Amino acid sequence: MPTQVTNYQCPSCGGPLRFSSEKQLLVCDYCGSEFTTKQVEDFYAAKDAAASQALDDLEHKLEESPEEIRTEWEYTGSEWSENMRAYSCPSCGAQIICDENTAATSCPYCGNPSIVAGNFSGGLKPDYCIPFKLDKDAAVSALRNYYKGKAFLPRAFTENNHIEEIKGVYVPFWLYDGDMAADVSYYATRSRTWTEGDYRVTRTDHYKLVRRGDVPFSRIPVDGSSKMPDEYMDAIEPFDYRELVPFSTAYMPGYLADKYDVDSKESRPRAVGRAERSSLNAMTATTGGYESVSVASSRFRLNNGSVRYAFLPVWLLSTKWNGKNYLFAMNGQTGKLIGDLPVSKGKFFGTFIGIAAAVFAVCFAALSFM
Amino acid sequence: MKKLACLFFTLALFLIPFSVLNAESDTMTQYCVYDVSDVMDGLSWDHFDDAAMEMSKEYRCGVYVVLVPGFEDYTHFDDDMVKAASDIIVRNTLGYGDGRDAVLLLIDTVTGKCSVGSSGSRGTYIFNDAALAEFDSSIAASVAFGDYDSAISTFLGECGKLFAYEKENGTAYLYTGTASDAGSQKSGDEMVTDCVYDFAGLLTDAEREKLENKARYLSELYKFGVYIYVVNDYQEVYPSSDVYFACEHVYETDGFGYGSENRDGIMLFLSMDERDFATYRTIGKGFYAFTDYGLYELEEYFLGPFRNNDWYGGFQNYLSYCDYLLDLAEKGTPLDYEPGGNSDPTYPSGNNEPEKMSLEEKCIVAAPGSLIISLITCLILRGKMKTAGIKTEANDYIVRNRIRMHDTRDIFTHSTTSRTRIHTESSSSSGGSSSGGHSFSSYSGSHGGGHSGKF
Repeated sequence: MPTQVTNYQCPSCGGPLRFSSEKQLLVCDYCGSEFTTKQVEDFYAAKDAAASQALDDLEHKLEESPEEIRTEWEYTGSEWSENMRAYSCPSCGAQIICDENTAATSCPYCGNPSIVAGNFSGGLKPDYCIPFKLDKDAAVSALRNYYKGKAFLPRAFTENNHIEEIKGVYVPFWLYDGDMAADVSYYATRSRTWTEGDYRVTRTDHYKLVRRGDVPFSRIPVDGSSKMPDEYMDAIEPFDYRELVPFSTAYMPGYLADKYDVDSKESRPRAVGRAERSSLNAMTATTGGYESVSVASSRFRLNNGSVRYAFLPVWLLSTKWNGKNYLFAMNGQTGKLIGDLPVSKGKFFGTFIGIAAAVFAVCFAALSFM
Repeated sequence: MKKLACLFFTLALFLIPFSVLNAESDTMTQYCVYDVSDVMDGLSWDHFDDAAMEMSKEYRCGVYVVLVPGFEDYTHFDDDMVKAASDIIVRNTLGYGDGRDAVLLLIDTVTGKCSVGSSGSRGTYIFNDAALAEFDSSIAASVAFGDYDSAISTFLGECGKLFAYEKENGTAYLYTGTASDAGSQKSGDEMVTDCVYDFAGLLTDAEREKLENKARYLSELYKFGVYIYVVNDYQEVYPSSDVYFACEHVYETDGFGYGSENRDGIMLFLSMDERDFATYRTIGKGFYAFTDYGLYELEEYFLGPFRNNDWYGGFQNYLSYCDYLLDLAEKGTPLDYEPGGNSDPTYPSGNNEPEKMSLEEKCIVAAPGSLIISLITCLILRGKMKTAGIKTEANDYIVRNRIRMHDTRDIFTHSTTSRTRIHTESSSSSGGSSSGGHSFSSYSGSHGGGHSGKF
């Protein structure tokens, strides 16, 4: 159970630090200082060691004077509800009430980014993360560009559109590796036709094709958060894994993060299903030269499977129009933005009639000149 | 005039190969009689030169007389006077048209000897070796006695007879070789192949030669290749689903056709094992002369004898009807049974205007297509409004260079054969074929179309 909330503070002035996607550094908005993630990690490691020493001294002191007050870093609330937890903000002291899976958030009172360190410890610690490369402005700009060229988008949606909420989220993903052993057989035919007198004769040769092979996969992503819609997380793929770095909480300040609530066993069938279909396609790609090819049987077995836990950057933007929420997601690394837009029925039928009339006119004219 | 002609010829001989005697005309030289020995009087020269020129133009084959004092000085063939006569035609670019068709009487006024040579496909065809042998015997005596006027008069008379014979009979007098043999003797020939190929042994040598002569005659007359090609199994010629493709392949790849550019022509192709036939004609002149209807009519003429195993009769009918159809085309009235037959649009037809559609018909044709195209377009645009979706594949995550195949086998299990009767309605609607064949209008790499079937 998480027991602490960490707020990375500037070693220079004590102000809150946030991770800048543009500079790929932790920056202090108060004094302008900039630090690498390693510098901050080293600083806090030293600070933790000093605090540990101080705590030992305090315990020793408490044994002698039990009326001493508690430390401000401690988990203050009891169980808030079944899925909620309460923490105290190390910056202003206010109570932060959040989901039990929340790993990084910001204080609703002072706005300082905070990290629930317990959700990154032990088995919950991600192996990798991809730091945000695109900032909030890029996400807003991408959404505006996304509206362009959408013929059926209601004009009012564009004109009166206000982004209700925009947040950068490190989404927990499971990355699956493995070799898919495929054993597929096919029915295939090849035919030729000729005439004999008044008959057209077709001879069809039938074949059985056997294809066996290993198809290696690397890091198939499946999101481990039940709160994130799977179709959104799938659609913003792929991520560029060359920029994967070992996880550090120093990348978290300024963004939201949840620990996984769908474990790797539950997520595995989705990864395996995708790998099987791609393996089947890879086998089928070797069956050229036939008129028809159909799968007779297929068997797959995953070998050398392994899974890694990673935080991947996603910008979530939500808008409201006509009482309905519209959610958009942008890959925080590549900038790929997806989301469903409303369709104007008037524009749809207007376009339909317009195109039909134009094509009709062209066809009519062509037939007249023929 | 005579002196001028002699001077012209003498200069030409010494300026060979740079002189071109036919500078004044694209089809014929300026003079036909060259008296280098100066043994003829002016009146005779005028008379014979006019007669030879008139005959040359009428029969599209140059007729020449050359009198020289010692022929050895005018040719490399100083030991063969017949070859010398032909050589003089070629070396002096004499002859009619680009094919240099010509016959030449060479008289050596010193030795009193003479010879007749020919050149060009038409020249060597009409004035073949056998015919020339009779020539020599009839005029040699006159030359020996120095009576050149009689010799030239006899020569021109004999030439006229051979031309008339060829015109009336459609074949050259006493011609025993193949037309291609004759054609190969000269340069600039428009026909580089034989016209009749019988790899199935249907014809006797004599029959084949007669057909070859007739086909070549037609080809030269209409400047349109007329061919017959017979094999045992077309699959050995070109593995394909239909004999038509083998016919097309042979025509397009073996250099058939008249002329190096358009390669106009028609080919009748027989494959004897399965009694298949195919016809193929080239676009342009071929489609103009041999409309679909004309082609089916042509088939009616040769299929009857073929069904009775009368191969020679069938081929004769084929050539005769080709002659008929080509003649109609020459006159500007190709055989076609209905307006809109597939005569080539680049040729004048006069009755190929398609029937105009009514307003209602245009609407009926245009409306459904418009609605479907519009609907598809709108659905594509609507699809762009929804971009979130579950992924079912993981192609982006395959390590491509590490895919290993352990077993790839293609095992033949069995064959099935189906036979479907070809509807005769479709045949009759496309021209009234009784052979149950297929029509082909085009094929990759070809420049023609045709028909195939059984006999």
